[in-house]
Amino acid sequence: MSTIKLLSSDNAELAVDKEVAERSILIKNMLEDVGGDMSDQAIPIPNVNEAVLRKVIEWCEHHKSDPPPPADEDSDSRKKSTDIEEWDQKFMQVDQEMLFEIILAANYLDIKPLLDVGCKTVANMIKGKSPEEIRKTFNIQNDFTPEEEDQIRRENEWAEE
Amino acid sequence: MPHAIEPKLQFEDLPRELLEEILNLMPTKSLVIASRTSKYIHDIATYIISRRLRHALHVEGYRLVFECYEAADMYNHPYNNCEYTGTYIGTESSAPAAKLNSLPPFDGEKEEFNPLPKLYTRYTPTPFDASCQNGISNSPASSTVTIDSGDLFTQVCASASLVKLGSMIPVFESFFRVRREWLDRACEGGDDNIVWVGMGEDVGLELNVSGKRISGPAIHGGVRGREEDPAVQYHVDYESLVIRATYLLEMIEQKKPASFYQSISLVSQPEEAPMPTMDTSLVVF
Repeated sequence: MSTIKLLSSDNAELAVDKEVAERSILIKNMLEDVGGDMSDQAIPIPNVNEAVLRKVIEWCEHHKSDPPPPADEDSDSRKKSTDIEEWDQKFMQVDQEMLFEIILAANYLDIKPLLDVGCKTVANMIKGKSPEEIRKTFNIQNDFTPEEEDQIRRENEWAEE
Repeated sequence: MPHAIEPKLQFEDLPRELLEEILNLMPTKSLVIASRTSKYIHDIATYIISRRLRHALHVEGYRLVFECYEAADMYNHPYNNCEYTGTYIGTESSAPAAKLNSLPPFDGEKEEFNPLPKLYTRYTPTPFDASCQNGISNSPASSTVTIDSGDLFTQVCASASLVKLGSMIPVFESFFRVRREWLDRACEGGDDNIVWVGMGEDVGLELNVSGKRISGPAIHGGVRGREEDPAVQYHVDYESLVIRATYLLEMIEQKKPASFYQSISLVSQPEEAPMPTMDTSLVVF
């Protein structure tokens, strides 16, 4: 099996199976463009640092033989479900900064299933929380005036339990 | 290590399209609650909900049926078909209203910085009538409201469901009070002709009240020892049914099996059983 090298933003060189790296559509397309021979040269991944890249490779490693997602995925059914398989749940038990870095990396590298898992993880952190709890969880500044806040609360009373 | 000195990456630092992706995973109800977190999240949530609304109102192909009756008349009232007439900001269709299709961009700078919760979806109830084209009458749904002598109000039940073949979504089932005083004012052409059904201002009925008629004498020396108001009847047209659009969306999303559903299956069982008896009676006659 052929191995390729990836160069992180902080100049760490990581060797990865080509098959694993190709979970990233970005890398896959790059390799196709150069005819598949990148054995002597590291591919620069300028947006992703070593720690995050290792994490992403770990995910790709575990999911390397996943079947490709159905082409015509019903966006509606995806929207409804925030279920995450067990291994992915454990994988996502990282600090918030790492979680967001993984989401950014998955987006940049074009690894749709990893992006989905990341987004679902964050969505699950929001669901069922009060606005105050959400602010606390994600360190979000409340920039509403008390009047605005009160107005929004009144207009959306039906959503409260 | 340039990374270490950078400020920590936080939720709101994610690019907008990714925040949209994340928030779009949540049911409308959670989204509405999350929208109170900050202006930025509010803006994104508003955008997502408006997109869902457009889809739900125009694509899913449900039809709204509505019924409204005084408690005493609960077995003998008609279902009404409801014609969707648009989604507007606020409940007054005559006000300069923006249809959902041409909503202004949600902009924090503007005075009307979030029109979404103020959006109401309007329906015009018309009775089903087999003798008319399409089986739907052209005249508005109406009924007679009676207030007994001495009473200050009467209680009216209203409910509506979205239906399509093989599927039914209850939207609301509640009651409201119409006060004698209010009916009198409305009858004389008062401008506030909306009554709200149930708690909050989520479901409203625009009523056109006319034809006040004394239907019974005032009772003299009643409970309060003075002359009571007489019994009166009013003719009430149901001009419009207005439903808060986000509330309607949540009902559509939940699609939970309702008490309605159960009562329908209860009714249909005895209906199937008597079929053979009908046959026999035909033979007899």
